Amino acid sequence: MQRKLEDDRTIYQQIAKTIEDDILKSALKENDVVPSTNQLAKFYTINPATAAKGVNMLVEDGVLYKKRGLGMYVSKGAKETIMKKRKQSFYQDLLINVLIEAEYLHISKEELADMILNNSITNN
Amino acid sequence: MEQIVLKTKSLNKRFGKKMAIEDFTIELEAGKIYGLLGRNGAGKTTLLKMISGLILPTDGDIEVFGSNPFENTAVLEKVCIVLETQLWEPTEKLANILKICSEVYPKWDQEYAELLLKKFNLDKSKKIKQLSRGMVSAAFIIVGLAAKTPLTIFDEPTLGLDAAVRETFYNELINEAQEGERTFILSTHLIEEVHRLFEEVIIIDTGKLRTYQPLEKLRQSGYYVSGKEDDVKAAVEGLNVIEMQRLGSLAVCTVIGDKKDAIGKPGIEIEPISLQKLFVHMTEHNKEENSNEL
Repeated sequence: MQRKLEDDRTIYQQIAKTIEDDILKSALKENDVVPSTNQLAKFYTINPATAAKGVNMLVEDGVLYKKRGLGMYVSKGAKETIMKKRKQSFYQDLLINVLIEAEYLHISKEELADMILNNSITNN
Repeated sequence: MEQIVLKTKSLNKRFGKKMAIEDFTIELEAGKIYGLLGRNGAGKTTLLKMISGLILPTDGDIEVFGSNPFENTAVLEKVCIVLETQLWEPTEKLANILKICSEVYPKWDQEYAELLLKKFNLDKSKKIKQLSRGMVSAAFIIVGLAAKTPLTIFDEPTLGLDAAVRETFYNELINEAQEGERTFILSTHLIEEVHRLFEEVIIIDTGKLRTYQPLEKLRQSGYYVSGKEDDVKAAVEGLNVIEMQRLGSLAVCTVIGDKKDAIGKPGIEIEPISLQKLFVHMTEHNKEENSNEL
């Protein structure tokens, strides 16, 4: 779990994102229970209604499901759902910044492509 | 429909020639945590005392749970206020105070009070005057929590409390708010530490309501623009810039407004404003000192 909230999005969006990140990293797997709104509220010192809003957003997206009286769980296929959604914002939120930075540093498109192809980040 | 807990209309309170509270109109809904922010002497405590029926307004209306709170037992047993300066005798024993509270508040939870005494490491056989400032704060936080009142007001409750005890308090507050049955008003100067607990923020400035908004909305009402001075200047032209700081050839501007106005302009970065910055801006009166060069 991410330790601190970064402040740039709304607090409930940040809560939703931290849970999504954990699912993407497989720290949370299908049918795992996710932290309760009470736990999230205490961990980040946030309003419990705000924490609930973040969690409910993921329920609406089909990433989490509710077991009455027990809590929220990771849905089947949650990872794929998140990946699909995040891929859409990959270009506009992430790649564009890489391209801008590359331009500052006079890194050519070829050099950049080379870096990407020869990068050794291991896929888990 | 949300239930209205508290309603004030054109509330005024005058002390001699000074207007402590002026034309204050507000409505609070049940089940939320409200943050009340204001500079020292802005009128927070006066407002809270009127809400809890401790003092009368000069004019205007207050309704708490549908009735005027002043000397109204039916209302006052539903409202617990924890003040910065306590009204208890210094010779009073903590155990006695808790006992009196258990008689005043019908939903008083003695078991919870005992648990909190342990959590805060307090000895209830002690007299008020035998406790440190922080321990007194902790003792009255216990009163506010264990009273289980539908409306609970904490006026600067964390004075003298160390970080560990403050954290315990925030956690207990979250537990109590979780059920959605209690409404809390919390006034504090520890804005950065506490503001994420608020659902709505009320800012009071020299007795007047400055703003009353959901926290998320308030956080969107300003932003920082940074980059090379020329780029920043071009980006913020015509916008409501409240502060500009320079660092060599770089500059950071604090802008009030929607960040959409600046997004996409060349050479700049946009960051969210902190609530503390916004608060200082809204309650600052000597604007000339605003532009400080570094």
